[in-house]
Amino acid sequence: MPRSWVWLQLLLGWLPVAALFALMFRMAHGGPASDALFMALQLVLTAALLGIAVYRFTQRVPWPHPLRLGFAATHALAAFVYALTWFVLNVLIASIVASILQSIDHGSFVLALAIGPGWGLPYIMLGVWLYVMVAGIAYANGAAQRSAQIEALAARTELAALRAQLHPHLLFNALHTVVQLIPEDPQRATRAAEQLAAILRTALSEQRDVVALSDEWTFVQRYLEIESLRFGERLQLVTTIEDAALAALIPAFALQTLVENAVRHAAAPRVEPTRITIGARRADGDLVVTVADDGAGASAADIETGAGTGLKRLRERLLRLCGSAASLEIESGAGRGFRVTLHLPQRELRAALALADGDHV
Amino acid sequence: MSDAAVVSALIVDDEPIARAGLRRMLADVRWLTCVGEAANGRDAIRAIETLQPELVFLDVQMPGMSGVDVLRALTMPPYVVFTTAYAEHAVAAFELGAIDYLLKPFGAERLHAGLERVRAALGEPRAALLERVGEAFSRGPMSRLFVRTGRSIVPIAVDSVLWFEAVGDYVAAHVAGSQHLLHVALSKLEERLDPQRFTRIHRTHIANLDHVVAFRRQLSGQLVAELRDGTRLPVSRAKAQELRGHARML
Repeated sequence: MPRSWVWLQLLLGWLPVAALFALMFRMAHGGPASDALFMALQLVLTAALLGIAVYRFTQRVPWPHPLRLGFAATHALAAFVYALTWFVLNVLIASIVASILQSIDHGSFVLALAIGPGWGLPYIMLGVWLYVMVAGIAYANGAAQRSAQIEALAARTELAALRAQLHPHLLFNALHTVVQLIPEDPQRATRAAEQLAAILRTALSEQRDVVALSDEWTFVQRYLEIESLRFGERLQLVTTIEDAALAALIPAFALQTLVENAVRHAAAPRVEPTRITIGARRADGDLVVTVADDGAGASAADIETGAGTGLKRLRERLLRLCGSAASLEIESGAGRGFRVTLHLPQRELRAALALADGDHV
Repeated sequence: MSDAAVVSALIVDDEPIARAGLRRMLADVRWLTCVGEAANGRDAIRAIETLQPELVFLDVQMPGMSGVDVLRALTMPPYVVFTTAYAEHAVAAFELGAIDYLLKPFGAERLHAGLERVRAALGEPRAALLERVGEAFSRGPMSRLFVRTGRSIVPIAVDSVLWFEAVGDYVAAHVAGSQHLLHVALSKLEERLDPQRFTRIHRTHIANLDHVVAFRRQLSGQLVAELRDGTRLPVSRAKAQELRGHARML
């Protein structure tokens, strides 16, 4: 967060307090509006300056889990010290201002406000209230920052999970295919083993959140080559990927998630051949990716409740990377196949890529 | 069974390369003859009914109908060897039901090693396969486990097991006077036991509470479970508290 933004936040936080004080002075004591405003600004400015110390203090005393009595006692003492310091500081300022102005009227007015009969206690109470406000905001701020860090960590874990979802289901069946091919067709066996190794290398080591479609497509093609060996004629592929689209950006493993879903949920459970159509094109600067199959499909209720943690995870990643600018649309119904269309805004993905690059430097 | 007799076999797998590979490997086995192939569950049932093979290699994960479903649909199943890739739960079930299986990937050597056992077992009496599959793949706790002793398969009533103990990759089931080894992880076994009766009292022990006569605290402070036959099993600190409640109810 830039520094100027912090100051703006502080200003926005304290100005209403100053306005409230000014209003209260006017109502309680009458007198000229300028005096009330001056007094209010003075009180708020000193409170805000001392507030910086409170902010620093909260960073040194982290919020305990579970809440401890010692923590409350520490803050009670600190609140009293804050309030007393604030009060004494304002009395000092008031007397200095009075002596400078040499104006008995003004001086006595300010002093009366500051140290008038019985005014000490309300000031202390007001000071404690201000302390609670500042400390509360400070802790809330800390919590928000921590949750942002946790979110970033979760995103990284998410990518790891995405990579992991490949291994077990694919690996052993693919290895069996390779083993069976060795005596039958050593050349195909070798090629299949190489493709499998390439898939695993990418799956195990991909650190980027956003990649070029050309990279993603290479990975998906390897995966499809292995699955085609396994499924034989049961898997039919139609691809329409525009050359212009290959340079566009896509979240890593996004296309893989869609294609793998089609293979696992449409082709695998079906005895009849299943056609999977994969398309990618540019539209108004966006990348539009479509993966469709003519499998059993799913009803809206099934999609809502269970269908694919893969899609759910992808949706969450899109939201995190692109906000509401990206979309994932599902068209399906029982017996009507399954069609997913991704709209990937390139501006947001470029920004995400730049951010990630900054992280690594 | 004499060496001259040739056993007829059927291959069931949805992957063409897997079928071709198995057929090729079986061609080297002289006491077997491959009488057919099927690519899915429905075709498999039809082929088994018409061809009447003595032995079926049955893939577990297939479109439409799993290998286990195929077996359940048969009234008089032939000898079955399941084949499966990654499927943790299926593997645990196979082990607990003493059901023959081959884990993919497998080549000729492992196939032949597996077939040696199958050949020996083909003529032996054995607990009915359907029963074992039914028990092993049922939902909820198992009532019987099946163990191999020599060439035969013996059912063990789960209730009669005093305690289970993890021993390396195996679990030892202690039944009065003897013990049987199951090739399964303790945690996988635990999922298939009645939690009202069996409790994990220790990282490496599951005790049958029906056979526990007392929980005693030793001088060292360690809590132990004493069984009917006098065996004392250690109880982990974490479990001790919870178990004291059970002990009072006994």
